[in-house]
Parts: sequence; structure tokens; C-alpha cells
Amino acid sequence: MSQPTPSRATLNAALGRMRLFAGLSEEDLNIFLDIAEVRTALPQEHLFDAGQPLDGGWLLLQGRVEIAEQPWPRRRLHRQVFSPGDLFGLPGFIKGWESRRTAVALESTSALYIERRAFLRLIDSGSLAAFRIFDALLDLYVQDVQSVNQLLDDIYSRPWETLDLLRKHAQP
Amino acid sequence: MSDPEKKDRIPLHQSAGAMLASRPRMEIGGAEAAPDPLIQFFTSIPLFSLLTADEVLHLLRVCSIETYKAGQTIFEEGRAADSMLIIERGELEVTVRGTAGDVVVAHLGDGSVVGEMALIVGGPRTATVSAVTETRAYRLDGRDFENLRQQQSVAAYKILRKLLETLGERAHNGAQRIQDLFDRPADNAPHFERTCRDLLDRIQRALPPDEAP
Repeated sequence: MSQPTPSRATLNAALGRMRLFAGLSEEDLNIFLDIAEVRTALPQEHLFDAGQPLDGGWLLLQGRVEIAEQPWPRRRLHRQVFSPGDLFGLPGFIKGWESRRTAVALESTSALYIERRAFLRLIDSGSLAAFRIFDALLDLYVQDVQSVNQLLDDIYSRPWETLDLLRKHAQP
Repeated sequence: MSDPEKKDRIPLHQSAGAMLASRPRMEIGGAEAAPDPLIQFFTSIPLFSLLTADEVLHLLRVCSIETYKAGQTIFEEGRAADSMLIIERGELEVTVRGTAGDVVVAHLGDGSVVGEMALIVGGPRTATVSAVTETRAYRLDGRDFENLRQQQSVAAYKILRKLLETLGERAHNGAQRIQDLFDRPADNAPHFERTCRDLLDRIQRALPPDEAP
């Protein structure tokens, strides 16, 4: 992580260009920036790994990040590439749940790390930028529950296939 | 077909806001003020536990008060979900349709909330909710909650925070359940097989004789 930290004015302008924060004032964005920390990553650097508890979430500013997951029962690798303006590290925004996914920078990347407790205090204080993030998180959380429900459905609607899979994995 | 969420409701023609206006005036948050039972009731419910007294009052202005007769259907599985209830007094039964008829999945009493995901997810109701005893409840419509959000109400976002916690918990627990199943396949395979056979057995017993395999 060796990139120079951008100035507050540069960050404010970058956020102002994001659809997520469209129409918000410089002051609204500065209140949010007060609690955010710029983190940079080099290509192939891991921002977090599957199984790691997250104390906060991320907002990508520059570069691309790959989020990968290999869920049971089929263990197929799911990859998603995130671009500037995208939020990731969902379990960290609301609680410190463990991540099911690994986040890897695909190129030189900078992102805002949003520590959970500070973020939740912003919600309580009526920060419009924090409200916008919450609105976006709502859709992402609903999608996340739906994807887990799909996996559970996959497991329990084809029980004999699941049983075969369990027996296969049980073999030494 | 009639809509039980509308037709069977007994409106008291009283909004929670009107009720608040008719109550003796209270000083919210004042050092001398006695704790208000209504505010205590709301903040004792986890979904509203982050709200201040003023925020509870703000929320109550968009709630209506409803009374349901014993046996009355309040929400019907499959119908559009457009509101939630906060039970002040009474008992509700939650049932889901199963292959062998309706299955009671929960009984809810004073201080319980039901249908809260309607505020953010919408879609069809996943269960039927009926009154077991005469029940008095606060009703919050999804549209009114959406208006509060549009007005950047802190109360709405504090409620949203609790709903996100619930959603996150569901995703986390579901994923954990899958992980646990496959982490120890040798231990879990026999139990999983027993569960599947039990389920199959129950389904076969529930089928009429001419439909049984």
C-alpha cells in the first residue's frame, strides 16, 4: 500500500461525482469523509479474506476489486468485479460478521474504509451521505439473503443429491 | 375475492397521532417528566429500541390503531405485503400452507411485531396471520414508512438499521448452517439422511391413499 493519500478536496470531488451521493452538498460529504479512511492496495493485494470478521465496509474510489466466493454445495467459484462507486464488505457495515468472500485488488486501487461504529453514529446524527449508503445497502442485503436462500433451496430441495455429496466429501 | 387486510379490519377511525393529541400533555425528555408508558412500550421492542422519545412520537403520527376480532384474518399468505403491525394487546397466530394443510409456526403476543419486512422488501406475504383473541395493534403502512425515508427521518433510518441487522443475521445464519453441514460431512450425513427420510414419510402419510406412491 504505497500510493499517496488524496487531499480532502480531491476526495470530496470524487464522491460528488458518484451517483450514490448525487445532489449532496460538500458539507454533507465532508461529514462523511471525517469518519472514512483512505486505504490503497496494489494489484493482487487482498483487502480481506473469506472467514475474516469485518469491522467496517468499503467504498471503492479508484481501480477494480474482485470479490470471490466458493459456496457449498457445488463449490463453484463466483467472481464479481467492482468499480468505483461500489460498496463491498457488506457484513462489516452493520455487524462484525465474518466475510464469506475474499476481496482482491485487480489493479492499483484506492477505497474508503468505513468503520462500523462511526458509520452507525452518523446514521443516528442524520447524515445524508450515511442515509444514501443505507439505501444502497438495503438492496445489497436483500440480494444477499436471496442468494443464501437459493443455496439452502439447492441443498434441501434435492436432498438425495445433497446426501450423495455429503457421503462423497466424507470419504477419506 | 375479498381482501382480508382491508375488508375484515375494524377501523376505529382513530390514528395514533389523534390519540397522542388527546392525551395529557407530557414533557418529553424533561428532567421532571415521568417515563411515558407508550414510549416505554415502543422502545422496549427491539425494532424501535434505538428511537428517542421524540422519534417514537414522530413515528406514531403515521401509525393507525386497529382492533381485530378473535378469529379474524389479518394478513393472508400470498397477498401483497404492504404494512406491519405492532401488537399492543392480544394474541396472533402465524400459519403457513403446507402439503398436509396449514401449519402453525408462531404465536405472537403483546409487544411483538409482525410483517415488518413488508416495509423494505414488499412482495407477497409468506404466512397468514390471524387473531386468536381480540387484538389491538399499531399499524404502519409501507407507503408511510417510505415517505418518512424520503423526508430523511432519522427514526426511519434507525428502524431500517434494525431491519438490516435482521436481514444480515438471516444471511449469516443461513450461510453458517450450510457451512456447518459440509464442514463435518461424515458426522452430518447420517443425520441429514434421517431428516430426509422422516420428511418423506410425513409427506407420504399426508397424501390421500389414491395419491400415495
